[in-house]
Amino acid sequence: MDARLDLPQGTLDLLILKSLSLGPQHGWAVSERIHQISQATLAVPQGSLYPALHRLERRGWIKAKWGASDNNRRAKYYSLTPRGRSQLETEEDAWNRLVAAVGLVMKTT
Amino acid sequence: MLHDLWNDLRYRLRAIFRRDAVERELNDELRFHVEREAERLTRDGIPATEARRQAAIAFGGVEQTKEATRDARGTRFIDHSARDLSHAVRLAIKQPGFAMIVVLSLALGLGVANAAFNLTYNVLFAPLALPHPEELAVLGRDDRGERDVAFSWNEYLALRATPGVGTLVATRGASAINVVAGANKAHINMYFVEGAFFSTLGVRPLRGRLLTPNDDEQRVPAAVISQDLAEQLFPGDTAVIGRTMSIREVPFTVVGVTPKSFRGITFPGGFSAAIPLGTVAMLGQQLGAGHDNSGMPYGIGDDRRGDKPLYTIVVRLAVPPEAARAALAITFPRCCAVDSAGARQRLEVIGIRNGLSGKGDFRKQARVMFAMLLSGIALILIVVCCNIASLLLVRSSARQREIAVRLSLGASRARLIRQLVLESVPLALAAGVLGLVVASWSTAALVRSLPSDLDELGDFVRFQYGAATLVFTLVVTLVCAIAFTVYPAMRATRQQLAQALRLDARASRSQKQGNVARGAVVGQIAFTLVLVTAASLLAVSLGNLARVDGGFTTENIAVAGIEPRGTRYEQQGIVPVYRQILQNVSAVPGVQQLGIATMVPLFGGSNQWIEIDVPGQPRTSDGGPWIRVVYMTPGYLGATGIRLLSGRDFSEMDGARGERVAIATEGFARKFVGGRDPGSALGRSFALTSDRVSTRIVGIAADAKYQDLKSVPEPMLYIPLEQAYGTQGGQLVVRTNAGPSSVMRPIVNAIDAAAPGITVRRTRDMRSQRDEFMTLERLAARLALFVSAMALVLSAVGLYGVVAYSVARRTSEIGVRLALGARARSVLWLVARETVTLVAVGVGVGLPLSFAANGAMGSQLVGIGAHDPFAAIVSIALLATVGIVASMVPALRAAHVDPKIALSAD
Repeated sequence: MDARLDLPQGTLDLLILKSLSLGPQHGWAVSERIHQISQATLAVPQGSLYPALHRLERRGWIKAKWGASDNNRRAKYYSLTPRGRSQLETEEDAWNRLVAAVGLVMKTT
Repeated sequence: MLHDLWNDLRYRLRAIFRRDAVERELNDELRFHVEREAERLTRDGIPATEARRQAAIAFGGVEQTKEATRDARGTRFIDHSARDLSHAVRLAIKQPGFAMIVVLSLALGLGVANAAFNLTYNVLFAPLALPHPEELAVLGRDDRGERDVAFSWNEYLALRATPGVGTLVATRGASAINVVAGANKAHINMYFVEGAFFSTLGVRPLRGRLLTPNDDEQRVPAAVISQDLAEQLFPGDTAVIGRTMSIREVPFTVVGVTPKSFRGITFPGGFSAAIPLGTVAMLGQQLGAGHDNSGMPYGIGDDRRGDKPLYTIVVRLAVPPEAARAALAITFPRCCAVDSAGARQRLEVIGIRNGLSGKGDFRKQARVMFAMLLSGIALILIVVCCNIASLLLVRSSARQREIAVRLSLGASRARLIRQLVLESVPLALAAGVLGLVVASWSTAALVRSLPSDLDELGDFVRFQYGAATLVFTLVVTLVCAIAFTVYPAMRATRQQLAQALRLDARASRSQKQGNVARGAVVGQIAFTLVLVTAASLLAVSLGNLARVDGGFTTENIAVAGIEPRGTRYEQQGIVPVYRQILQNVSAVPGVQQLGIATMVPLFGGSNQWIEIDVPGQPRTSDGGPWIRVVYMTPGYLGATGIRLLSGRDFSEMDGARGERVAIATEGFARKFVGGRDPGSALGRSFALTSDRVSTRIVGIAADAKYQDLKSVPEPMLYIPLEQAYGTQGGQLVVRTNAGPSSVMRPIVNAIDAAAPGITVRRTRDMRSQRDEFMTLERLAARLALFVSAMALVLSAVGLYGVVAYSVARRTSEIGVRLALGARARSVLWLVARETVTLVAVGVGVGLPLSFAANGAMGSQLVGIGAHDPFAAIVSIALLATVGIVASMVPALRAAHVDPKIALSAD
């Protein structure tokens, strides 16, 4: 439990976009993927996951489609739109620079 | 960017209009998530039911997630508003009484405001229905404050040659022209226009074509007529183009029809027909020039090379008016300015965006009335809003507990205020719709009550459900709705939750709210007092006006206007024919006394002045003193009921060749003899400045009010009609014992038999003529009474609401009092005291307001001062009575409260 971190403000969108960049996923899989890739460090609160998905859909960065899941159940699949992809690039770049800058500051002082 | 917006919009629209589908999908999506999680846990070896439980716990509050997701859709505001609105509609249906009072009072207020707005706009501000009316102007010359718009042809040519002004065209008007098409006749005002007149104005024909420069230059007998005239001359005929109508026996071909919206260039105006200026010569020689009522010069005859001021110059400005004036001001002194009495005439560029106003400028007269009307309407809207606000305050306090519960359950204050404001929107919209109906009724009523000499106004004051009206109504409705709900809603939601939730905390918590409602009622009473005093003053003034002695009789008198202009009597002379007319008409059964005069009190006629020397009176710069003169036949004074104070009436002997005689009015006689006994003027003589022939005063008549009933009669002279110069149109006055309307037809026939082909212009009976002269006053009084009655009803409703509320609030207190032995009377007083206080404070505030407001009305009142104490006392008494009656119902209810029920009430 202690190993888990709350998500910094504003990073959830970035993480969702990043995890969708590997291919269409439904909501559960998105949260699961973030959880796994972060080696269980990041927990996505479900209360914010779905509002975030719907917000991104409204902005046109991701689009939703109903499809069959791996166990043949109806699930809502989200995928990146071209504009979502370019948004991801912008945000990824900004994030990397932020992390580098913060790291630099943390090292020197 | 556009794509973003589109995407966003599509998403939101789907969320609004496919709300159920979107909700279902959300449900499915979340359930899938939980089930998928449970599946994973099962695979880890946890039993199915336990797995499902754990998954649900891990997910957290489903409803919160849903709410947050809905927020993310960005449609919450609309979504909630829709629900609030439907809630409001249900609420209105549940409380029909409240809803009805709000809707009806607001509808009345809005309807009347709308009608007043419509009427005022159309009369005072409506532009001519022509393209870019702001570019249109008429040239005028200012002669020591007197404006004249008549120019001669030579002056016109000189002015037109001025560069850098715009397009100038000349036009002339002629009044009282007979046009004939087969058996149909019409008596109209006509425009004689230069070829470019219509194209300069930008008129579009309804049918056919308009006049062109070619028609003018080639003297083509072509006429353009209005739709109304077309219907009059060729009834039921749609193919009027190419038909012939004759003017003074000269045939003209109808080449075009103008739409109803074209009303000429004057206000209130009216357009019947136009013919080319070049054809005027065909109609005969020049027969006199003057000004008709619209201020346009008139006269028949070609004066293209002459110097007679017959033309109105219309300009389509190419530059701003000041620039045009500056350019023309260089030409003007060289061509047109006349030095008179040491003052130099100046050129004016008169904008005619709203039409050229004539000498009897109705707009100027009406402005005061419209100002009164609009301020009355503004007051009534304030009263309506006060009324509704106080009702809402009262009601919201009844709902305080509901609001408190919702606040404590976590509803945000903003959300509640929005709901409360939105609750009034369906009411306001219903009121708006109903208000439009009221508006169309009251506009029709207003138009009907316009003076009949202004009935042409009715043409364009007809109520229309146009976009402007709808927008006006919608805006006023919503502004009212928000204005009267925001404050009560803010108050209602700002409360101490704990206190409000306590079951028996009525008395203390809403004291303040009650105060605001009371303030609204006090305001209402104050403004109502203003309206009621104004109405009572106007009503009294109207009554006084009806009793004003005009110096003439009104009962059993018929008047008919005889018009020689446009007939053969114009050249042949009508005066000799009058003897025959009088003889024929006197043979009509029922006719007792009769006479003809050039002008009749209130009925009008031709305004004529003569220039004479009055001893001791200095000459004025314009050659005066000018004395108003009425030319009359013997018997006129007797028929009209104007008393002869001394001397004699004219007789058959006072003919054209007889001694020149006159009858002076009392006012003239007094002036003539320098203020001494007017009787001493009898037998004295004066001379007309024009021919210096001596005229003897043979009689003194009582003063009569010729122009209107309000003003002081001016000094006047009567002169025998046969001693007058030129063609004189006359008004026949007949006193009958058979009822004026029943003799009218035989009288007209008798005139026609005596003078075949003559025009009888107007026939009236004196009573209705006099009534008509009070139309503006009656209209004002009627409006004021209506508006103040409305205000009284609204105040009564407001008082009732507030008192009923305070009774309800104090039910338990009253119960305690009664239980302790208080008498019903003292409880009654307890409640009545509140009413009395409210009315007293309202009167205290309203009285100075009404004094200030009525002061502005002073000049409109007849026989009563603007600060008449009696009117104020009556108004206050009326208001107090209404207030007490309104509060009696809740007061009586309070006095008969059963203490047992009251104490257990809450």
